[in-house]
Amino acid sequence: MLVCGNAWHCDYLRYVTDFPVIEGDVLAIVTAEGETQIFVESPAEADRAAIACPQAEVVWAEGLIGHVATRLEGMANRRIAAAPAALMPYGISQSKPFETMTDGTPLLDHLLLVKSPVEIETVRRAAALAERGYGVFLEAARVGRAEYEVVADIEAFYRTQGCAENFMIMGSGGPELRGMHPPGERRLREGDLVTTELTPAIEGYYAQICRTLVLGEPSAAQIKTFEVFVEAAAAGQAVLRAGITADAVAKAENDVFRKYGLGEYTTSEYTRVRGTASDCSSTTRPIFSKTSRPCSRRARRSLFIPTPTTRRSVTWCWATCL
Amino acid sequence: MRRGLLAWSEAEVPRATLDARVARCQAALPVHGLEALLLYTNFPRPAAVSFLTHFVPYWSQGALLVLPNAAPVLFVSLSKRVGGWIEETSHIAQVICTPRLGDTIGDYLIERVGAPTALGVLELARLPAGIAVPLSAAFGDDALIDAGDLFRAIRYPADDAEIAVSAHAGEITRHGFDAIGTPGSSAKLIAAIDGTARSMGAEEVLVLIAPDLDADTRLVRFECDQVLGNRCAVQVSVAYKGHWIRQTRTLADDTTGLNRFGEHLQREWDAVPLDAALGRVVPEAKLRAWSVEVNSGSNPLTAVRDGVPAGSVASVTAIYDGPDGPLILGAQVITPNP
Repeated sequence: MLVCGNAWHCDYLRYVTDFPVIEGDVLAIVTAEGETQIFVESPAEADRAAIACPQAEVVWAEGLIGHVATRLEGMANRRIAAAPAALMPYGISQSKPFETMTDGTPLLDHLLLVKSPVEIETVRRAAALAERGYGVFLEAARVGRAEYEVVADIEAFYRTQGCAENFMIMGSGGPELRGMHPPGERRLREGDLVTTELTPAIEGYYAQICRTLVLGEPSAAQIKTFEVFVEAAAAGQAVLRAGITADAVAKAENDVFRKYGLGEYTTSEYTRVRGTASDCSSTTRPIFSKTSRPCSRRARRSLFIPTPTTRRSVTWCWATCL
Repeated sequence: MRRGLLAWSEAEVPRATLDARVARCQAALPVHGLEALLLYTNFPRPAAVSFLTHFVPYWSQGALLVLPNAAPVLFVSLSKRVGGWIEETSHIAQVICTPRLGDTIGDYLIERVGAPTALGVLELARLPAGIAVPLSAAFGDDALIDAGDLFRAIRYPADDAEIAVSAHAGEITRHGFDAIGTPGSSAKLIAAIDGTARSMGAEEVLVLIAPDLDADTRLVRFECDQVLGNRCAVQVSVAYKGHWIRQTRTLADDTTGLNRFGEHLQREWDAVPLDAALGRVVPEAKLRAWSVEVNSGSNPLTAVRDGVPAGSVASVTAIYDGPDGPLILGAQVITPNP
């Protein structure tokens, strides 16, 4: 199998090689006999790969793409699958060996989905770390502090826990707030709704929570929308079981909103895609989205259930291992 | 992803500076026989697009299309709901949010200028197939031309804005080092640097450590807490307003004076070649190896050996064998004219 990855899209590469790439692109060839070759773009990444993957052959080459294409030509008699197909470098996709390669993305997607007990335990540890990080967030989010100063506190906390990676966005304000983003210079004010997603990684496995707080006393409107939100989230969790579709979960949540005349807030203008993710990357595109297949009884994975945003006021998410 | 401060300061990176960079790019198109230029971006490879527009994708991917007679257009696989954030944090005339980057870019080109026969693509071989294949299907393989020479021709010398924000990144890094105190373990050390740098507005912070220089001089990023040896090296990479620098220090009792490594190296390199300059800066040690990294494409920093561009902000890292053991030192400098 030929696998590519970088710090953004690291899941397939990490799953196959356990190498946490930081800089540049990486290609890896893994054979059925257990041999692993890792190709990197810099001497520094080569040093890191050699330490992280002592059993692998690590190659640093200027002209990485050409070098890998040449190596693949030497494997012309082998059946090779490549993943993820859409991110494979054009130079590889144009090479002669690629003409006979198959798309290995579905195979790896399946492997990523079905978790071993050790993987589930690691995701649970990441989820627990996410919750602890939110405890730090509650202390850090104070009136007058800039968003980026708040995030600095959480990131420092995660570094003290040996957690090197975290996907974190936030949003602060009132009804004008349309979505979360990396922290900005805005300073928190009394009455702000402050929403954040925390997604720490432990050994490459991410778990994400999303929470909203109010700075100071919540208004009557904020309390009311929160009550709707809690009811919607509970409705989603109530139908959640192996065999259900994500579409059905979303409908259960959306029906609560519609009951209170808030149906417009279940649309894509205000809320996000719902589905499941495979946990080896903080935002691997949901495997199952609205028009999903049933969740397999065999599959063990984390389920991301965002609830619609009511008047841009409250967002509430759960990560649950089935 | 990027978790640090992503914000455009027009005082630090003026609109006119970004416009001038784009103008140099547009002027170079006919010189290199190209009708347009496509530059890819994701958060590990943001540098080329951020150089021209100040845009850094905190997540996902995108591509900037530079046409000769129009403002650049950013195509990005992010939700429309972050469109306002993109407009606030960058200088881009038009942002098109689309999950189908290749198809959308192709359709845009056909509608605006007709099917190109010479579309320059920075780092063509590295362009993800999901974007490249639709373009090659629409215009033919021969129409996609690597544009590395064009980008290198317009990238340097660094302008005042780049020099200033890189210097600021250096200041942030120095404060990070000063916050270390008694390191103890890797987790405490990294947390002190990371938290300090981000609270000062760093866009991103990477901390690598060689925990025991006497055993191994390779720099590692830890995903756990690691005990540090008597002599360790810490490399801190900081991004600020789209520009990256690296500094490296060896933590040991006898290296306090070497914290001015960058200042001394800048002075020496202006007079003599780099390897000689590195030898002069640490006369009591023997130079074992060195690297120079500059931005020359979409990667923020790339090691160069020959042809270091003059007037670039370069991160120099050197390993020495000193009387008490190995030393690793690094700093950012402005490369002199040859």
